[in-house]
Formats: sequence, structure tokens, C-alpha cells
Amino acid sequence: MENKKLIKRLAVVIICLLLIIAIGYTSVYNVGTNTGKNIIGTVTSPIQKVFYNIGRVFSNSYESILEIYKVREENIQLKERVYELTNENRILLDIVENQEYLKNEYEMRQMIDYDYVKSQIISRDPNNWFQKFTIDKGTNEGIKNDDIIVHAAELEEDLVVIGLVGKVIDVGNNWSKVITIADINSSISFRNIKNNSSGILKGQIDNTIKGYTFSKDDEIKVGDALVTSGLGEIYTQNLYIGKVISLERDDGLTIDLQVEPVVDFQELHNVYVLKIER
Amino acid sequence: MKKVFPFIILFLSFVIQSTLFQFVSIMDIIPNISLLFLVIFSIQLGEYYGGLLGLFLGIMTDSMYLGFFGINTLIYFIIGYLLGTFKENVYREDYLTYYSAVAVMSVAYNMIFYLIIFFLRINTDSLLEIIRPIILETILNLILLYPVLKIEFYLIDKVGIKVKYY
Repeated sequence: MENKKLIKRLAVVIICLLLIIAIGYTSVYNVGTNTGKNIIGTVTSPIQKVFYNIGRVFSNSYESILEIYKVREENIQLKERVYELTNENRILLDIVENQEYLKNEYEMRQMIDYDYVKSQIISRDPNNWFQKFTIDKGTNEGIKNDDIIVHAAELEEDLVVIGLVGKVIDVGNNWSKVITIADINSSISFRNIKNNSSGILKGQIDNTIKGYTFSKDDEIKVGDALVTSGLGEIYTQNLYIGKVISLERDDGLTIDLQVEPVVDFQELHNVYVLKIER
Repeated sequence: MKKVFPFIILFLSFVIQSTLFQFVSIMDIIPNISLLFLVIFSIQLGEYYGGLLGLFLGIMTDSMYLGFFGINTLIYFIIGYLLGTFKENVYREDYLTYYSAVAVMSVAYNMIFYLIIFFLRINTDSLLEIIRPIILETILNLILLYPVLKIEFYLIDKVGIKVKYY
């Protein structure tokens, strides 16, 4: 009797060991089950087919009751989808409404000779009255210090120019800090398109741009368009700055003037970075 | 016939499990009816039958659905054998025994299964992610146990299998 029990227990242990070995072996080599599969499959598959079909017939009739849970989940998913589509629709509408703007951008792209990167403004510096901002591209895209930031601007109907925004002052892997021309630390040399008279423009604390001409005798009028002159070796030539909105001739050696930039810095969202080889 | 009868029942339960029950999934969980029959038969018929039935059911399950052989066989074999050893200490009509056995074995089956496939690196999900299905399956098994027991008692009495003591 004792012997019998011992043999039984031994058999159990041996079977367990064999099964563990089988698990290990088949999990590594993934063989050995095909024959068994075939035999058992041949026996069971016709029976299973019958039961499966019965099950399908039954399930069709009371699926709706059993799967209320699933229906609810599906409902939530569909609602989410509706929100998603509404949002997408809104974005598309936005694009349709902005087609003018996109056209301008396209025309500007045709004009740019330099290698450029399109980038998005990701943050603005709140302490500096929105005169500096950060964009989402950096050295990974080949941006360096002093690269020029421009944006498309429409002067009149179908006349698009490259509007000057500012330059890069600090650059990281995937971000760059940009100083706009309206910033108090920024200064540009300008040229009057009409008569090539030139001068210096500086940003002011109140977001305006003021400057002076080099000579008191320069002919400059309100409404004249100013572009960059290329002096100073940071801003390349012929980037559109803006129009003169007021002039002040005092007794000094220069003419003071105020300029309205062609780019509205508060409305900027996407800008172009010109990668300039120096 | 009398000796083969449990195997036939188990085979039928396995077929039903793999076909009909796929349609009555509640929250994507399917109750394990073959496990119920295995537990009941093992408690009633002892470790010899229990082990054999476990091997039978496990080999069927493994050969049908898993790419690697032996996990179900090992677990079902151990369950069948272990429950069989309790046979002499339980009354056949004691429902509480069946309920506690099914509860423990449903959890144990899934836990051992999880452990094995975890260490074989087949599925390395966190344990937390499988707790909900395990609990759900156990509850479903317990709910199903009552009708299954009724059917089983009826069939056993009809066929007239004597509960033998070894």
C-alpha cells in the first residue's frame, strides 16, 4: 500500500517534469505539436463547426442585450470621433479663410534666394512686451546666431514682399530665441527705396521703431518705403522693413523719423528663418 | 462506458467552451466551463481520474490553441491531481466544497498561466493588468457552477457511475 502511494507520487512528479520540459522545448523550438494538432483538429473541427454555427445564430439574437456595455463604450468612442471631426473641420475652415495669407506665403517663398526653414513661434517673452520670442527650430535644422527671420507681407493687392521680422540671438538644439526689429536692443540700417538715402532705425520701448537719417539733406517723405541696406553685415539687402509714418526735422544734423513695420508682430505665428552663409 | 463517460463530458465541455461560449463573452471574458467539469470530476472521482482527466483536457487545449505545448496540460494535471487527493475528505453533495475549489482553482489556473508565460517572456504585461480579467472569470465561473453541478449530478445518476474509493 505504501509502495503504491510512493509510485503514484513519483509518477505525478515525473509527469510534471516531463511537461515542464515540453513547455521549455516547444517554447524555444516551436515544433512537435503539428501532428497532435492535426489529429485532434480532425476529430474536433466538424463538431466545433456545428456548435460554432449554433452559437452564431443564437448570439445574433441576444447579442444586443449582452453587449450593452460594448455599445456604451462604442457610443463614447463615436462621440470622441465627432469632436475630433468637428475640430478637424474647424482647422480646415481656418485654412479656407486664410487662403489669402497662404497665397502671400507662397509668393514670398518664390522670392527667397536663401535656404530657409519654416518654423513656428512656441513662446513669447512676456516681460519684454512681446519683442522677443522663441521658435521651434534650432541647430538641428542648421540655424545659427544672426540668422534672419522674415515673414510674408502684403503691401497692396497682389504685391507681396519679404517682411523683416528680426534675427536669431540664441540657439539651442530645437529652439531659437529671436529678437524683433521693434525690440529696444535692435538696430538696423535702412535705405529709402526712392533715392537710396540711408540711416539707422532702432526699436523703442513702446513697440514702435524710430530712427534717423545720416544726413539732414536727405529727401524723405511720409509714406516712403524703407528696406535694409545691407550695412552692418547682419541683415542682407532689400528686406522690407516698413513705411515712414512721421518725420521730425529739428535743428540737429539728422532727420528723426518713425516707421510702421510691415509685419504685425502680435499677429505672427509662423516665420521663416533664412540660413545665411557668412 | 462508465469509465469513458467523464472523458466524453470533458470533451464536449471543451468543444462548447471553444465554440458556443465564444459568443456569450461578458465584457470580453469567457467563463471556463471545462475547468468547472474538471474540478467537479476530480473531487468526485479521486486523484487517479483527476490526473488523467487533467492530462486529457490539457493536451486537447494545448494542441488546439497554443503554439507551444504543455502549459495547460501541466496546470490541469496539477489541478486534477491535487483536488483528487481531497476526495476522501469531502461529501459529494457538499456545494461549498465545489464553490471554494472552483474559486481557488480559477485564480490559481490564471496565476500559474501568467507566471509561466511571464518567465517564458511570451507576455510580460504587468500583473495589475490581468487582475481584472482573472477576477471576472472567477466570478463567471462561480455563477456557472450551479447549473453545471445540477447537470453533472443528473448525468452521473442517470449513467450510474459509482463513486469508488481507492
